[in-house]
Amino acid sequence: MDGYFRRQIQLNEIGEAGQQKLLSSKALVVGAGGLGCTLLQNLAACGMGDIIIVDFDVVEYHNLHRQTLFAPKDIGKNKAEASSLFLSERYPHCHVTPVTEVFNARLALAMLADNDILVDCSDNLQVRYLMDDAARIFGKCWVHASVSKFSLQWALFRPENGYSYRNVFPVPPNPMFMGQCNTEGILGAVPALAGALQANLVLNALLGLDQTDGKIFHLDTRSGQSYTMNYEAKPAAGPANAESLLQYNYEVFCQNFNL
Amino acid sequence: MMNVLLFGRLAEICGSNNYTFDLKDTDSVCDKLSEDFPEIKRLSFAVAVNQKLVVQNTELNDGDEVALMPPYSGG
Repeated sequence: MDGYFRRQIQLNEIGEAGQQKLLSSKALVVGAGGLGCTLLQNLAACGMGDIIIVDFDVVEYHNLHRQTLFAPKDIGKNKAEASSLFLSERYPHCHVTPVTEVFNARLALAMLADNDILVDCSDNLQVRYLMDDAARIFGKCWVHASVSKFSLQWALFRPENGYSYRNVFPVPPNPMFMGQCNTEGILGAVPALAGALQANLVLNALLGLDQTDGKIFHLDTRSGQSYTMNYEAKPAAGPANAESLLQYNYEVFCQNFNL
Repeated sequence: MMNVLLFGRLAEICGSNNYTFDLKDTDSVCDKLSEDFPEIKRLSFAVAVNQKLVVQNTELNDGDEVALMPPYSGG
């Protein structure tokens, strides 16, 4: 490249080889909302070669305060398409492909094998467990983040090493009693921070720099207090192959909460 | 005595992100909080002792730190 990436190539841990690795890497990102907007811009700017953005949702006026890839002119447009346009214009080295569908098992099976890393930027439990299972079946690592008001969680899962979201949270929570941005509110800096931390994990994983196997991180942005939970590698429950993934009913699984 | 850290909705429901108890095991901690704050029975959460996830009832010793962390879902 012509100096565009000079400052990151200067890092001994990246160098020309690391930059080439990023330029030849492909990420599948589900969700172009509060997490996704920050993550996508970070990945595209630093030289990710290919990004597939999956989002069926459209931009709404009340998204704009935190979903900073979008402008008022984007209201009513699909988020995958609007974010792809923004990123393609600003970062021409990055090939961005929008997918305007719901991320389901069929889509996962069609797309996952071709990607180096998966990222869940959705606010949807079904997507999270599906990505965890599909990543395990395809031997891909994936990156999680989510927020609850002023706090955030994030983690990288490497199923080939025995680490998965199901290891930490085997039972999905009751969605009726979970906080959501649309019911309890959100300050844009919190998902932006979570998205940046997610992007950092993606880059570390692709560059072979990550040291986070078996850890899930938590930060309370009001106190600055961080917490790391460590967990053991073990075989995860859930569908074990592509065929059972297609048969698995995530809608039922994610409503099978403990009351 | 052991320090109990609560995160997210759990901390909100229980009115604090930090409690100190003198209890024998992790089940007793969950039972005590459920008794005082029945609403948390509806939440699922991971339990860690000294920053390590535990999946079964675990004996506690003086000075242990217990953390109860629900999964988040906002994005």
